[in-house]
Amino acid sequence: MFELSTETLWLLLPLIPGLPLMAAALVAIFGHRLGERSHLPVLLAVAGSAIFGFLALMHVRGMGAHQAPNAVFNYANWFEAGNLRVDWELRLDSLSAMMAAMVSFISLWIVLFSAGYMHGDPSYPRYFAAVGLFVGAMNILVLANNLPLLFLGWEGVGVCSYLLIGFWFAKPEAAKAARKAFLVTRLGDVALLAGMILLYRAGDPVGLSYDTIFSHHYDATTLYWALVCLGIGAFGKSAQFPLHVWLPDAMEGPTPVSALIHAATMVTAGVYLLARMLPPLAGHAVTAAQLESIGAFQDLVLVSGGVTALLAALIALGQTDLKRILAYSTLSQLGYMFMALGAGTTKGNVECHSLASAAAAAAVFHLFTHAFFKALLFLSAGSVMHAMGNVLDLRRIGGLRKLLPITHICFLVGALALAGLPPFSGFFSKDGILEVLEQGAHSGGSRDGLQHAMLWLGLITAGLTGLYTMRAYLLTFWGKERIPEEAGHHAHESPVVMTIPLSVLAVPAAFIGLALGPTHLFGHFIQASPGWHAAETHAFAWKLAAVGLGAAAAGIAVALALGDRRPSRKPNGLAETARSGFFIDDVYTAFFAKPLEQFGRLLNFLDRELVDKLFELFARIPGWLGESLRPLQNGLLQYYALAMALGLVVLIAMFTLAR
Amino acid sequence: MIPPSDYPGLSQHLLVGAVLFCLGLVGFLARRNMILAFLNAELMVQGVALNFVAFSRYRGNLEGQSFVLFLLTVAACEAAIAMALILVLYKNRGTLDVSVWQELREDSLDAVEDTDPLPLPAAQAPMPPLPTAGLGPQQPEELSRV
Repeated sequence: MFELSTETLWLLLPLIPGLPLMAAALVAIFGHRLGERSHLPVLLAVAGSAIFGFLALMHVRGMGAHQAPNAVFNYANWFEAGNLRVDWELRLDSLSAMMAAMVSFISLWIVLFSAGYMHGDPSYPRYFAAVGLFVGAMNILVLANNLPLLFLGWEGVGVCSYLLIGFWFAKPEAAKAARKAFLVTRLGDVALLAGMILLYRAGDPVGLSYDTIFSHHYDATTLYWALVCLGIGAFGKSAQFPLHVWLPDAMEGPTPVSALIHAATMVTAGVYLLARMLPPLAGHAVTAAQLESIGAFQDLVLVSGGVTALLAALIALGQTDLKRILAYSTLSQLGYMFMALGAGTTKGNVECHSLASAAAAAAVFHLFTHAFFKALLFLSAGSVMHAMGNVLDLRRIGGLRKLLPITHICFLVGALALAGLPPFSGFFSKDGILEVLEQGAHSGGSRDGLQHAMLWLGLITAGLTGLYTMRAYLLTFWGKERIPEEAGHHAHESPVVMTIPLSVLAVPAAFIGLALGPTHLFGHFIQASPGWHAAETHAFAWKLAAVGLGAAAAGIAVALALGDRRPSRKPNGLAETARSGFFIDDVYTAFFAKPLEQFGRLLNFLDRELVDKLFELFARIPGWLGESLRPLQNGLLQYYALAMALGLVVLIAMFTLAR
Repeated sequence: MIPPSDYPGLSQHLLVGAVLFCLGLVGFLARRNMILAFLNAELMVQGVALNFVAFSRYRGNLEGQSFVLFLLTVAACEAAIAMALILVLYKNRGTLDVSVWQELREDSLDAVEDTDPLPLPAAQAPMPPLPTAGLGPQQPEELSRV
């Protein structure tokens, strides 16, 4: 069995976020000298992180089910305020080790890809500094052992997301998209902060470490509202309905960034947060009221996830831009993960704990496989974009399989995984989610009906996923060869530095589901996290898997039947509705953005016309006073002498009268 | 606390000092000729000096007296400097009228116009060479007005 000593771990764990942060600082400071070599420090640092993350993962795997309940490494005090004490403490358990290893591994290949993709960009060093900062912040987020430290990473990845979406800030759409992403996720972040404050005020005020939170018995109402606040934070970060509007616009950033931040890692932070909180809280809840609170919160998650999954799949059907299709499919898949997190029961403490743990494990498993195949899909789209001169409009490109053979195969693998065909990874993780929803629907608790509806919704979404994924694939790579004129002499396969990451990521995207899913390796590993209910081995649910596969196959069949029929340019009511994202953006603009803008204008008017005028009035008083006294200063000697004499008279009068 | 004194003339002395001071003050405020204005200022100083002497006599000690010695010294130095300055000013503008110097006023104010200026001295003929007898020619009397 592979095991590391505590001292080694103590040294190794902070290096996982530390190395990329150091590399980011190095590139930020010396970027102008490094120039075209700016990717090297970040690449090496992320490779180090990946190796250390893998070692930590192996260590946790070696410990098996006997994980120390407090595998916590406390480094120093961060801050103290009143009786709140927050430390720099990292946590090593199955969940954090898996997340850290996965994030670093995928980041490594995406950084390598970026070295080719961003080649020749004038801001090459700035890009890699931001990516390094992102990897460091994301690792802090997943390794943190208390909510404030998680929040540090949470905000760090938010900033990096903002910086990288707006990387080409001279483009007005990019700057606007960056601002939108920042503001919408900010809404969620405020809620997350509020949730932390609620937990702090309700708990024994000793800290916000996970173990403290999990071992405290919260009053049912507090528990519900704290969870809702944390949930809204997760919705914002993971772009769940109704805070999903920022993610599609975030595609303005460079494509490797879309792959890294807006598909594989950052947007899954919300899933991670809820998966971190829910199973131990469910296990610790004893009273019926507490179980009801958790159940009511899970309903919220379930509905939000279900609505996002279906809505995004429908919108994806109407898109004509390959990258936007992938963005909406990310939304849809994240919706799946939230549906899984929402699965559960309120019937009894043990059932609730067991089902919540299984559900969170299913969500995390989908997160894990999704990270690989969605990063693969985005990088493939990036490779297409590289060859096609930044054109991804499916009405203008097509038939690229001969031109881009490696990209074609990799995209196909990713697409099949996303569509959920066996033996590709997406099939097993999606099946796991449907399975926990089905278990929840038959658990006999009060939440069965909703979960049943969501199960059907998940199946419909699976069909739609097959349809839009296959359609995007077919339109890009089959049919008549169409190359836009922007491509110029670039219309050939990408350089080796870009195809290697594609090929490497294609392997887990294809097989990791088969390796870890049916063998229950992943579930057992994750559910060995302290506070989780240990996994129960059960037979593979063939019936449900067949139904899910049937739905996906039906979608794929429709896509094949449609063949090379391109979306028409003529406006069409239904397609237009889907393309616009069901007008949700317009609704937000009409009901929030515009009124706020008008309100801002009003305040601006009041500020300039009322407040400023008032202050100008006060500021003028000394001026007026000076104006009236100024004639005394006329430069004639006798006037000054007279003033002195009068002053003397006044002085004498004062002394005399005061006597 | 005023010590008993056998000096009865204090109030007369003080009265004279005050009269001197007030004459000087009025003269200083009214005169536009720089030299006369300066002389009036000296008159005020002497009025104060007289007070010192009177009190010194009244108190029966020499502090006031010695102070007056210093005062005279300072007044002498002051006179030397003032005369030098007045000379420079006179050379600059060709007149002793103090109202031609108004440059310290606010920029935005107009200069006070002198409706009744001192007449400028008529342009002088160049000095003739001294005759052998060592006597200069008759100079016109310098004009001055209150």
